Amino acid sequence: MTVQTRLSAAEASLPDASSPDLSDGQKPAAPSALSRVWSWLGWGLALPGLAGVVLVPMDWSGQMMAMIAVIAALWVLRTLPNDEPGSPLRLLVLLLTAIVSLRYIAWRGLFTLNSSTLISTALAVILYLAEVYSVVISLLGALVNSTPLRRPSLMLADLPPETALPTVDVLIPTYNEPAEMLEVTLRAALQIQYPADLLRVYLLDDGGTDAKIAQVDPENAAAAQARRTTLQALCHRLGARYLTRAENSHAKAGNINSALAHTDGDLIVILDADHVPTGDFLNRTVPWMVKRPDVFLVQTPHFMINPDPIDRNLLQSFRRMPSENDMFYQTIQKGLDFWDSSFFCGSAAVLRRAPLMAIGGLAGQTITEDAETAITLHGQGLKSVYLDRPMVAGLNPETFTAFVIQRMRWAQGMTQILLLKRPFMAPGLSWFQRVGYMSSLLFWLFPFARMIFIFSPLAYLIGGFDVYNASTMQILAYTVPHVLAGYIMSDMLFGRTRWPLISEIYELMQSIFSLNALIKVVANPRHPSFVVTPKGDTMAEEFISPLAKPFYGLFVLVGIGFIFGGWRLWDDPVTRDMTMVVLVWNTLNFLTLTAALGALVERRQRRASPRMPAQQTGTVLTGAGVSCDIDDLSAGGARLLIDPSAPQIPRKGDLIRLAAPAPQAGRTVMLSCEVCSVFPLRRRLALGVRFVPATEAEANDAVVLAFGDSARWQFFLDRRVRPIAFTTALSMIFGLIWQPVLLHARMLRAAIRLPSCLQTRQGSTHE
Amino acid sequence: MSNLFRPCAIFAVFLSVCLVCIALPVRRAAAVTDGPESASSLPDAVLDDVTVRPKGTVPLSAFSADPGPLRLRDEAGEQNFFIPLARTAVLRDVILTLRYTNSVSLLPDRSVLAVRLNEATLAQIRLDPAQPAGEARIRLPAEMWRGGFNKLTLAVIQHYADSCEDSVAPELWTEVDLSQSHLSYDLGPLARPVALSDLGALFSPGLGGQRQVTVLTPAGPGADGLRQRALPYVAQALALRRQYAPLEVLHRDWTAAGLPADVPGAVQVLVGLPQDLAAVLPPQALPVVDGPQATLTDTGGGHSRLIVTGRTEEEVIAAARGLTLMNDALTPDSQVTFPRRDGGGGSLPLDGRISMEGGKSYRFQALGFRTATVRGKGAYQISVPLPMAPDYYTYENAKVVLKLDFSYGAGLGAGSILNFRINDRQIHGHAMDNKNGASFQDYLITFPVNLLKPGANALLIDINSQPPVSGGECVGSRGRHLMVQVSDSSVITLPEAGKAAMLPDLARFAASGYPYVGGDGRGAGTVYLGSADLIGPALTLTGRMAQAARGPVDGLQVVVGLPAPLSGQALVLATTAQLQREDFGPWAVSLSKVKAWPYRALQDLRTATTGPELSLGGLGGLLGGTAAKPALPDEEWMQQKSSLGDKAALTAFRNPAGQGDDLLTVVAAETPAVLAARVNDLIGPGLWGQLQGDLAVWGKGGQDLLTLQVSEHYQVGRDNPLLLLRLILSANPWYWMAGAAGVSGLFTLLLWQMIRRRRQNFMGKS
Repeated sequence: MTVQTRLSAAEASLPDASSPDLSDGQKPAAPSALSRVWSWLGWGLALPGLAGVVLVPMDWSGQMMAMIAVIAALWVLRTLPNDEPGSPLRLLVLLLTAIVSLRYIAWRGLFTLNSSTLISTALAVILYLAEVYSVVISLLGALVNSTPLRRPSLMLADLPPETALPTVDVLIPTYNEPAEMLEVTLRAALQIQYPADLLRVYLLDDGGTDAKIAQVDPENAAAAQARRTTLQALCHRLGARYLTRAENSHAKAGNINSALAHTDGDLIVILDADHVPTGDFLNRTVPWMVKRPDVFLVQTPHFMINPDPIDRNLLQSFRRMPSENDMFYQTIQKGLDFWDSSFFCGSAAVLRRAPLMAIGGLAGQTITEDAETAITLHGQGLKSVYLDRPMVAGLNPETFTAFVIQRMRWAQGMTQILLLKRPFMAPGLSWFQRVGYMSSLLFWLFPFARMIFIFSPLAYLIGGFDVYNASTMQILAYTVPHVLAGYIMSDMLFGRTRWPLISEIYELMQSIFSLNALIKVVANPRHPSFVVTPKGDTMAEEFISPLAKPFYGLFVLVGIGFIFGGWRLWDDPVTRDMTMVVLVWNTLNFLTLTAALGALVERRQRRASPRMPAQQTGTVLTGAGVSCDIDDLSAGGARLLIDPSAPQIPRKGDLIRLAAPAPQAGRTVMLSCEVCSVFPLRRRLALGVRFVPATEAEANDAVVLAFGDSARWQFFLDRRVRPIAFTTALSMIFGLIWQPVLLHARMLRAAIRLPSCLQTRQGSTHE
Repeated sequence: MSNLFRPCAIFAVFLSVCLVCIALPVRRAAAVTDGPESASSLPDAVLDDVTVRPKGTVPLSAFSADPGPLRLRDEAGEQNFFIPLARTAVLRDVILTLRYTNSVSLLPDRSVLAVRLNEATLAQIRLDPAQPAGEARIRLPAEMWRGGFNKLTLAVIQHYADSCEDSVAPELWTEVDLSQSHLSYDLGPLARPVALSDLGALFSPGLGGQRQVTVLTPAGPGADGLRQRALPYVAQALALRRQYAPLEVLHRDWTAAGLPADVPGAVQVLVGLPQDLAAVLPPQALPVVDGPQATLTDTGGGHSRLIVTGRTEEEVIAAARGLTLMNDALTPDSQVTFPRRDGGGGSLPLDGRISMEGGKSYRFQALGFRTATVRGKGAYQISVPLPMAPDYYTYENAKVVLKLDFSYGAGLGAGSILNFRINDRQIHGHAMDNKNGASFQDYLITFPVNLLKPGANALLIDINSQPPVSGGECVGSRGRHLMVQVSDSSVITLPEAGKAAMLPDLARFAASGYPYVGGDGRGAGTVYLGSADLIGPALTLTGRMAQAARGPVDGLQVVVGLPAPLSGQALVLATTAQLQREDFGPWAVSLSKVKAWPYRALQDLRTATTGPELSLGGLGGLLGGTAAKPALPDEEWMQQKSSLGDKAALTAFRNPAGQGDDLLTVVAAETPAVLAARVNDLIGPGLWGQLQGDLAVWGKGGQDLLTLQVSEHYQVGRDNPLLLLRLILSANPWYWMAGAAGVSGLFTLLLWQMIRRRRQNFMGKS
């Protein structure tokens, strides 16, 4: 089955605009007064009932019996089909898990905070607050994601023939990205299928502003001038329009707002410099704007074509495992969309100009202008739409440093919104939008909780503070069911897009640095400034991330915790049970930290433009022509698999032509290629080829072939988005954690022998 | 003369009490215990020998908490045994036989085993390596014994070298076989007239105390009121004087023909009106009755007679009640009258029955503990009584706070430690490592409240005092300077609590008499008997309940006859033939002719049954299907027509004919004689302390004890509804599960409706 056929089948299964359920303008009947009375009566009974079920106390024995029954019931229920969003079975599972967790939190708060000393009590309360935070995040997440919304497919062709299409301005803000990267993005944007007279593509260059050119440092000024000249030439050559401004105020938001004053398209498409759109981007997004005048935003996923540094350095399963942002774009945004609170993510989105201009352009009070803008417009009663189809391919940060910079900005920006915009009391938002935004914003406070979970067992093991006042049996009766319920809830909501234990690694790795950033933003919410995420780096050598030192410190500290734990086991028989429990906790932290160490060894990466797997056929035009399979593909080259017995096998250095169908464009493209390597692969002969386009049209075709087809991205996502069992995840983590130790040992040994091997790199940070 | 006698008697009693108080908390680890909470360490059979026979032999192990041999180590080691002696007992002769083994490394001229009685050295046995095993007989002069507790000390001085000796060398040991070493005693009659001040001594738990007493009442229905209401008081009054030791109460009626001739026991108790007494007593033996009255007189031959009488039946009952409160030491006369106050029916004072209540703080002094000081090196134990109410219940995470005042002197060496335990559960340790000594005020220890159980508890402070090792092996320290002191100003604070309990629970019953004894000392229930010949066992059991409650139980009645139905809070003693199947709960063990057993119990009882006709009992077949869910599945219940053989059974269950939380406890055997014998076995500490669950079956001498939990628990409580709810839910988590299922279902429905409506809204807009 080809990609196209699979996609067609998948699309056929979706409801579409012609479905009787989606008839335009048919508002469902409002609930009758009697129905409302029943509903209020039901809530009046259910809420006190829930409070009772959560709060009524039980001894550990009764609690354990009850929890065994509930967890067994959950285990059975989760095996039943529950994928239907908002189905009663799914809601029941979520409710039961919520009850287990709320009972745990109630028990912790009511009965376990009576520590023996003031310091212990303070630490116990801090730990408790971290747990409360985690449970609140879980419950908000459960509510938000209980009913992920999958929008039907809507195309321009579905619109009435007489529909007047809006004009579209594609804005590509850039700061310091290389021209090669921008060329690919510009070419792809210009290839978007939309009436040419209605589509304009703008490159918004903040690296060549007047201020940059006029800066005191002559070298930098010359570089800025050169950049402007180069990009102007590039735009001219490709048919795009170059825009810059006088000053670099308000970073990306300021850049876009400046451009808004010089453009007039009805709709605005914003693409990051590395975000390459597919040909059908406007075909699938604009109809929502046309049909729904109250929609100010159509957001699509950011589909990353390279692994993030944790994935690349540690997990090494980019093609097999859902990536970190799959959980957000494949699950959470759909959940938020159901509650009218899917928000703008800065790129890969279509915005309506009118409401945007009405609020003065993109908001700039925070460094996450995207979510801030969305809150403002949601507060005005406007709607957003999230389309779950990858139509923009981007790049993840290549290094852990760049990754941390990006995540710190997000954490700071979202916390700024929490503190400055206060969505929990912002006017105009509905209660569910508040819930949605609070879920999204509060999540970014996880560094506080994560660090508390790391240090709490150490406070007990090393400091002797009784931060968790419970017996072993109580832990079995309350804590373990809470953990299991959390797992079941998480598995149901995110099982396909986030594998167990992976979040722990990601969160831990960000926490150390984000915590400091968060403390700063809490102290001064208006202080943080926008830092561009460095992208497109290549690494010739493996090296240990310069951010590794805090992890080494934590690693040693947790190790010391084991020593103290062993001493406590031997020395204090009275607390032996509790020490054992805390040691298990410390062991989990230790394993996570060990895994984190693996992600700190930056692996080698030679290609700035990563190749993505492809599953399509082509023809190598050498004389009679040899059919081939395209194994992987990027805008710069491809790997072709041919039959070894084929006549006239190209050799290294040969110039060949490749003919390949570009389904999205509805034609076959012809590309000139140079054979860079020939080697056997999977009983075939692999040809590593580099595209050497002879004309601008051929260069465009290379981009169309590599990035033009959203079905290819969808297929790739569908293949890796799948659930796995907890035990599988556990064995995977266990399999991974030994590598970091060996790697670090090897690299440290090498560093001692040759200090220059221990390279350190800094990410690009620019104001 | 009487002017001189009274202060002397008071002083003697005071001295005895002081000695007991001092001896009670401070004792060597292996010494016999002297409080009710330690009663289980005394084998019942041994006490029989001690207290009944005028001549007898008691193994030393009867006075030791450790069943094994006694090993005396180091250069100087000793072990104390506290041997109780009734003050009314007249010892003619006591011989101690010791069987011992000593190390072959000892120097014979410098190694001795000394025997001391009340600190006076009576014998020194040379420990000869040439004869490492030996037996010695030592006469312990009768005149050196005193009423109350006597301290018998076995002490060794042992050396393996003449100089430069390691005082703790492993070669330095001597072992005494406590089971083969014994005391032989010969008791004579009391030479002086007895007075009521001797009543406690007559029923002392020590040597010479009475383990058996016969209570006599007039025959005929006219004395039913006395039997019903006065006799329980009498039984309790005497049992409480036995402290922790069992008392078998026999009951006989006298007729116009006179008192029964074959009354066992050295003390008989006559309970009746003057006119009834006049029929059987000579005129000179008749007391002049001017109100509720008790009289204790000699009857010759070492026998005594206690008469409980009054002008009316109510006065007789009042006299019996007065006996439970009477302070023997302050009653040096042979006769006492209890003037009745107006109303007369007020509740009994607690009489030392201190039960700690939730949310309150208690000084150790208020709990009966006096400042304890231990001196010298070695292992010691201090016990602080912690009496808990039978229905004390609180949250399991609640903490008890101990603020201890203690100190230790200078010069303690390495290995000197304090360990704190609650009922054998270690809660804290403290190393006494300050060479200059230390004193602590409000030393804070917390422990989970659930380490305390209903009834008697103890804070055990294990002390190990070691002298410092300094200057090499030749410069040892005998450690006589070592001192550790625990002050009675220490405070224990209990967390807030309510009154709630889970029933049936035979362990709670054995520990406190609950629920037939309330926390306030009021009796809550009636003892029903299948026939009048079971009055004796009923009184025996009543006395044991008072001991468990650590005070008299007011208002407990013994009723002959089994009403139908057996309503209320009831304790039934009957033969199997007297019981009806309907008396038992649908899912409780039935001890009637047609018995219902849980299958597990049946396996252990099969050998005792005669000609069983087994049939698998189903739920419907047993009861007509009304009742609550069984603890055991119905297929695990068996019905059978069979006897109990020589066994007796005790079972408790929610009274099917009662209201609310009433408990029905049934003690049954095949015949009244067997029942009496088994009740006598039951009240022994060996068996009583092992009661648990809601079914106990035991045989002769307490052998083949089987305990099981077979019926559903239920909860009773008052004062704090939330705590009662907690207890109910803890025992019945199904209630919570049903609630959770209901709430989840309702919530699911509401959320689903809300989401469906919203989804429809979406579809419409799309």
